[in-house]
Amino acid sequence: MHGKTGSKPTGGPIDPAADANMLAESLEKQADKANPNPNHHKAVEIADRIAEALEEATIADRKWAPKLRALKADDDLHVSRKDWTDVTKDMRGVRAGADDYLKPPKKGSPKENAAWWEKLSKEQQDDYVALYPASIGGMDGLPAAARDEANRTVLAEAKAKYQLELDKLPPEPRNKYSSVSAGGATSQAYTDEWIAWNKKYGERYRHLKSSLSGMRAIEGRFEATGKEGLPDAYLLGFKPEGHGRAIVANGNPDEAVHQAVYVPGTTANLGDIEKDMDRMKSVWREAQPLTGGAPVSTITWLGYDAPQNVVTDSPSPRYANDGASAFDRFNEGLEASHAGDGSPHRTAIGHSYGTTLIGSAARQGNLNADDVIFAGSPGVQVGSAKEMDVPKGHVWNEEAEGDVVPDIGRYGHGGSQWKMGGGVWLNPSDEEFGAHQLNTGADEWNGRKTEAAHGHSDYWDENTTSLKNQARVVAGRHGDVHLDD
Amino acid sequence: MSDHGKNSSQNSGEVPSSGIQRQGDADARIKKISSEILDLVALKGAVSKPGPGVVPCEGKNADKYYRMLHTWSVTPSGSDAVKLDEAVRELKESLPRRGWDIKRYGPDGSANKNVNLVADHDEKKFSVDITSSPKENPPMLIVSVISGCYKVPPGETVEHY
Repeated sequence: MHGKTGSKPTGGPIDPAADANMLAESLEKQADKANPNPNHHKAVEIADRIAEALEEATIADRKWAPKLRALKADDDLHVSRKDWTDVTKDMRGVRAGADDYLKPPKKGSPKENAAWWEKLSKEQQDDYVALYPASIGGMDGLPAAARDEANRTVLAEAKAKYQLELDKLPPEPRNKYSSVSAGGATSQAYTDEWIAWNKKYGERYRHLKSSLSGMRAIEGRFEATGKEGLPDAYLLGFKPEGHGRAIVANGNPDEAVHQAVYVPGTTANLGDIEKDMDRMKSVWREAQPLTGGAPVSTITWLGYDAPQNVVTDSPSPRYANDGASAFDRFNEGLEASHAGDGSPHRTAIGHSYGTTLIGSAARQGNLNADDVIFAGSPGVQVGSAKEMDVPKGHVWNEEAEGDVVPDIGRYGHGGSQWKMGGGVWLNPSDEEFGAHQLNTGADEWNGRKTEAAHGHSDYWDENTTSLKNQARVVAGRHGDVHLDD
Repeated sequence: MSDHGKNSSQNSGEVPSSGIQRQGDADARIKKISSEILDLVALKGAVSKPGPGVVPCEGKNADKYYRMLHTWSVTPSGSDAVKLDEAVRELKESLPRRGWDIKRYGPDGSANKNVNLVADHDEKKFSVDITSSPKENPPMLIVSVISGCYKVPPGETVEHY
């Protein structure tokens, strides 16, 4: 099965049924054994792409055989430019064959996407997931199961590609700092060696490491499925480039009666996705027991470029405005793909800058939510709860003393000093805004404020009270929410 | 008077430390506590399925410190549906006999003014929060059990589930 590595090339076509990964390995070994070659990296890159193309073709079944037969890279393992262009031509051929009946709507609405998908046969759907995983994975309106399957493929390929690239980068010099003495004082400075490395590779290196960390965290979530009843994870969005995209659901939203979609705030990125996934796992565990068996799906939505720098980026409404339409579309997609009659009960949860995005989404379009929870909001671009696109009495606000501290970082307890740049928006914590103010656990007792104490028990803190309240809203038990009085 | 001096392993407001514990053992321990409390619940009905999960310890490294949180419910069937408040009242009597210290009992801060009970077991280092929820659909008894703050054994990292 592992074919002809090491044996004499015949010049004839490669058996496409051979293990494509083994092929990549052997191609890589060939490239390695070659002379110190300025094209070494490129050769490996090309090898990887060829293996990918062959793998894709192999996965598609016998129906594509005529195309496969035309896919004949010669087997002498010397990767020529001609070999690569042959593959490109062949992949175009494969896709051209597909195009006649596999045409998604161009810039379709989630409803249109859903309708298109439903018209396809199961076989056609499978083909589409195999051939266009990135498109299918990001297509709002398609069933969660299909998006998940597609995105897991994208994730696996990205992980391999990123790891390969990282392995090829020169490693970070161990001597990063050196002591510099001047005028009796000693300080640390970067070594010249490190500075040179950092200039050439630093940014890429850090991006690869960070993305891979996020990918591993997502895979960790897949592996945790089943542990103490944790439901299946559905990867509804994934992109490793830039700050990344990750949309991870606990439980299938298409089957859920109650859905929660959580928008994380400043500094959220793929590399740190674990924390934001954990939040929704916890909400799931708290909310699912409260529904009498009706399924709950909680979703972490890193579907926008969050501001990465509290000082320079957060005051800008740009991030919220750009991401808002994506959020509206995503929720529209959840509506369109939902199985059965009736609409699920959906709660949008925002943390910090995520609340601003939700506010922007309500302002610009249709939020498509039944309840909104703001946690640690600096401002939501609208002046009142009425403008939040949800029925009266369904905006819930949590503001804990110093809650925005983690986002401000070195700014300390400056919650009140942190205002949205340029605007005079009411904060959801202001009475005039009209949101329910949720109790975050602080208790008044005998005139002294005991922080984060729930009935004088030290086990229950702000986080757990907040969690309980969120769960009650998500589960539709509105009268059970602990209000601040 | 919240007497923080009683428990020497904590600062004011900090969650009590429960020492070093393997996650598998911590998981088993909280399930046992939940099971013991369920035995005291004077209601017949469906018990929710999900088991305990892992939550962080406030202010501590999430790779090294963790807590176990288990929230479950009993949805009474038939005639037991009206007995929710009574069930909480009965727990107020039965829990102290098992070493639980009642910290709070009475209507909580909800619009429904649900009957709420909070009890700590300082020896076992767990706390339980019990709420009767008769006015929402379906009516149920909600129980949350939480542990103190554990540290994973040396060389291990917290598995988040």
